[in-house]
Amino acid sequence: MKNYFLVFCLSFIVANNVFAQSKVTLSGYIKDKKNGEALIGATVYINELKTGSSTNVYGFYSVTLPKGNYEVIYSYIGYNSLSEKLDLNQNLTRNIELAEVENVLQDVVVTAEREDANLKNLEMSVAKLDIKTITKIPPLLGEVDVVRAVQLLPGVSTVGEGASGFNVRGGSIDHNLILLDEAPVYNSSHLFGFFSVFNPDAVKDVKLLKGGVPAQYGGRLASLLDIRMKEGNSKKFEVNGGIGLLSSRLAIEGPIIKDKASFIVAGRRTYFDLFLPYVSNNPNTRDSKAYFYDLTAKVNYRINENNTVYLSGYFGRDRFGFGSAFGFEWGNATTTLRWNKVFGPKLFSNLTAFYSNYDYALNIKTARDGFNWRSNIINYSIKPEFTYFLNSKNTLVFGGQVLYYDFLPGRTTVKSNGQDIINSLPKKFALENGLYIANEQVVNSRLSLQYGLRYSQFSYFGPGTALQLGDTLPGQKRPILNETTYSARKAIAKYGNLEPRFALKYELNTVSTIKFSYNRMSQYLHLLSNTQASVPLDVWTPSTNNIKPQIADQVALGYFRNFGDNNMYETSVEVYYKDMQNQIDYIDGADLLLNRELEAEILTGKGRAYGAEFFVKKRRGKINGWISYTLARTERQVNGINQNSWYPARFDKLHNLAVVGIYEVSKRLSLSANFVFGSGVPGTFPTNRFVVQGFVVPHNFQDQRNNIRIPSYHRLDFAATLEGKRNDQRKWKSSWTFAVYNVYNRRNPFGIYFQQEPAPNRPVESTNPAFDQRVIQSTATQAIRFAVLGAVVPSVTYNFTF
Amino acid sequence: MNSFKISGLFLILLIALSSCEDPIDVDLKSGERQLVVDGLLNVNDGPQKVILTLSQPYFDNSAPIPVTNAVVNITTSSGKTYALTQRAGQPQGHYIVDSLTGETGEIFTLDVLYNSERFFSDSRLVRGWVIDTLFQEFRERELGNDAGIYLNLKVQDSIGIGDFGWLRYSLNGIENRRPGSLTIPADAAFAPGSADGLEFIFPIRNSINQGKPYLVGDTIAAELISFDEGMWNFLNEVNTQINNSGLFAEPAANVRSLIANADKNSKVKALGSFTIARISRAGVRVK
Repeated sequence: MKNYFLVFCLSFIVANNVFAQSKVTLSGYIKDKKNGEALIGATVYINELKTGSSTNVYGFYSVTLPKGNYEVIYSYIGYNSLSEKLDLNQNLTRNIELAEVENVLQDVVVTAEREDANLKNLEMSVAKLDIKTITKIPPLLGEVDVVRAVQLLPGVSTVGEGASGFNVRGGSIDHNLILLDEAPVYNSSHLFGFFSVFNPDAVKDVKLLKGGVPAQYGGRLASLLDIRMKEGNSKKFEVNGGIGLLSSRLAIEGPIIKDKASFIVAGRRTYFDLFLPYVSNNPNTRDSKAYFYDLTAKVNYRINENNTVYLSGYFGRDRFGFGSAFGFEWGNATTTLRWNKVFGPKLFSNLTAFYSNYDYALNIKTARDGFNWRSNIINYSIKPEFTYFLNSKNTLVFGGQVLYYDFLPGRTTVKSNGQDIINSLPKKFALENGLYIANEQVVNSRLSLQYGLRYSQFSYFGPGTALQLGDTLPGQKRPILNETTYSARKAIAKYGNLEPRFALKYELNTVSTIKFSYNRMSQYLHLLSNTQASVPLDVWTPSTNNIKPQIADQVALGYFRNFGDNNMYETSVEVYYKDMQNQIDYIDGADLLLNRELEAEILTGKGRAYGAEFFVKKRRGKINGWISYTLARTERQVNGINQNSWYPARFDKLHNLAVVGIYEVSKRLSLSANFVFGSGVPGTFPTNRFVVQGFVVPHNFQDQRNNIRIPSYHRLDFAATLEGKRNDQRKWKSSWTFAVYNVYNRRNPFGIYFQQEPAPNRPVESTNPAFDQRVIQSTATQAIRFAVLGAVVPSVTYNFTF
Repeated sequence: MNSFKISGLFLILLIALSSCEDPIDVDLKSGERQLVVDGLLNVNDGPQKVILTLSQPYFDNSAPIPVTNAVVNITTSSGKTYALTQRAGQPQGHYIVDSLTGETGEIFTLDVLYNSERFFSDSRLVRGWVIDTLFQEFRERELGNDAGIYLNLKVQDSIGIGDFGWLRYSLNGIENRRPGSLTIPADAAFAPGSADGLEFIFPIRNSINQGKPYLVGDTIAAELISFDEGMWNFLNEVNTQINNSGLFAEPAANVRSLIANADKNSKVKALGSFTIARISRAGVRVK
């Protein structure tokens, strides 16, 4: 397989070199003049040929064209375009720096792209947000948040306020591949789920792909959230910071060697807990710990024209505790090393190596007793990728990835009255490999195609023990028939999948485009979670002999149309259908944590998701923003659940609406508001109740799953940002952001639970305590609405830069 | 590991973010009434009983309707048969037998004939734990509790995974049956095998306290009931369902019944549980 692949790639290169004599290639990097940051998606346009190219994520571009004289226009929205006459009779490298447009009528740049990029790009089902836009959205407790912003886009939803992660087109939260500078982040949440782990000061670009995922990426069913960190100002030192109610943050960036090497370090920490000793005399409160912090750092070094290396890292932690007796913490750590090499004007390569670790620990300790629990997932990966700019019609991308997994599902130490015992669920090991090739082809001025193939291969290997399970009986744990022990590096289970990817763009006219995409995705890694919102303790597990890889096929069709002067309004409608195999669910009453026989409690079945997404965006002007509406359904069918019938997934929401408005009142003052509405998620509600041992137990007579909806969710937020008086002499610039979250104080239900009313303790009837089971007196039962935020949440933040 | 509580932790968060819970009206459909078996019997004491009632609509707050027309028997793997009957002077739906005897490992089978349907449930008599001592101790303020007199107990788990039970107590004759205080040890901890062969771990020993110090003169009676894995699974699921709330609630699910219809193809199903148990008791009066 590998050899064929190589021959295939090489033949392309050879063939091209033979026939390419009369053509020349213009290539180089496009960067921001002010800080040297590479501009992603900047365009290079050849006026005479009415064709062009755009920069990749490292700012590199390459255009191959016949020899001749051309006018070349380099542009990037929000930046002054640069045009130059070039006499191209041999290959030429042009590194360009574009300057940001200074303060034109305070227009806010909603997207940092060419004005009609939504029409011209082949990409569909893509949601991009500029970090400047993200900072305008009203924050919760002053925290600007990438993931919360993404949830305001079509096709993206959440199971509820404060829930970890997000759901894309009917996928569960583990169906999203979240990459921070290419390293996967396993838990994207701080404070359980209220904030995301990405520090906005260090984020340069956020892109969410919900469909039409190119062959370069694989391993998750639903989406790719690609977050790229800033490289750091290569021209001058810059400090950004903010002081908020919940946390403060500081980012420092600057050149190490001017125009050759730069760095950025950004950190933030919450300090809610530091005030506890001052607000409470209660010693228990004073001893409490509850905070998170994260640190993001990156350096890059341009060795020469053709070689650049980047080293980036993220380290974040959440900690909770009471004095020394109780502690709970979790966090991600990632390190990415990348080497960009330009082999020539037409061949660009990037080699990425990364390490990623997610771990948690729980610790309870008194003098003679204790409990300690640790778990982690560690990744090492290497990923070479080549982009070959074959000619002006074809751009070929090929490469591979090797990903090694090391799982510690759980290790506990229990200490009881001085004695202790260690229990460790056996470690698990796996290797995931991918090989891919894709071509982006411009067929003619209207039609473009992207087609590719990814082959993914997964092996779960020893040392380990494989359980052989019997058949599923409704509601019962699967019986364990046999156990087989495997030695080190011996394969326990192996899987391989071919994943075709295809995308098509057809321009109907200058203002409207039709796009279509199909992709097959496979996922070998599963997050086992049986709670309404995912818990930091949830365990990632590899595919095994019992847990098959998840597979999804998605088709999407979209119509994109722009209106108004210079594409002032951007609109789109997309419909999609997704078919999913081997979806994971659990038997009733399943225990997922620290369970050696966990696989026996897992059921698998089918999934389907479909929907329509509507999007209208006003791109410029004093008032701008967008409206996003999604009509969607996501369902599962698992034998042994809901009497084997289809049932809605627990994050299914029929309607999802988001309205975001930004109003630039003056040069100093801007206002913003957003309104969200979502149908209630389904829940399993009882029909009946029964009494055993004095406890009133809810029961659903039809044995249904997710049979009733909780009330819908809606919320309005406001924010106002006031910039300090402008003085170009002073380096210090500052702003205040005032925000109100949940303006009209709605108690949005997160869930509805059924409980017996708290009853007073009952008297014992007889002196024989074993004979005290009397007829239970009438006990009231009630439905309880649980709202995560039951109040208006105001906040204020002071931001500065110098 | 359902019993795992991180409540202290969530408290901080919830205060910080002002979450709230309030009762609301919900329109629920109701299903048919079903036979409910409530049988936790032991071989230590005198009269034992199985209570038969009917399930009822979820918001029907009246007392459960007793089932009075059933025929209830218990047979054992050693060949004994006990007939359980309703008795004058005792509540309706209580099927009583004078006493039960058995050896460790003996299987007790409940047999209920009701409306022409036969239901049965098997339970194995286990070796059982013994409360070694129940004693009072003075504790400094810790883990959010005030300083004062607390109780502690010593129970040694035997080596071998698979010891299950329920630890409960009464204070001054008032039995503690709050849903949130259901404590069901498995081996010496909350999950089978996690602390096999140790003394009961602290959170279990501490469950005979009420979160505040006892007063001088208080009388506490502790009761440690040992039964088989089936009953423990049942109570573990009950525990999840009756205490299910908050951000990390599990999706509501039916508690799996321990009572099976003898006719596998019958659509009529019964709810509830039956188990045979051993009991160990200890009492203390706070000085």
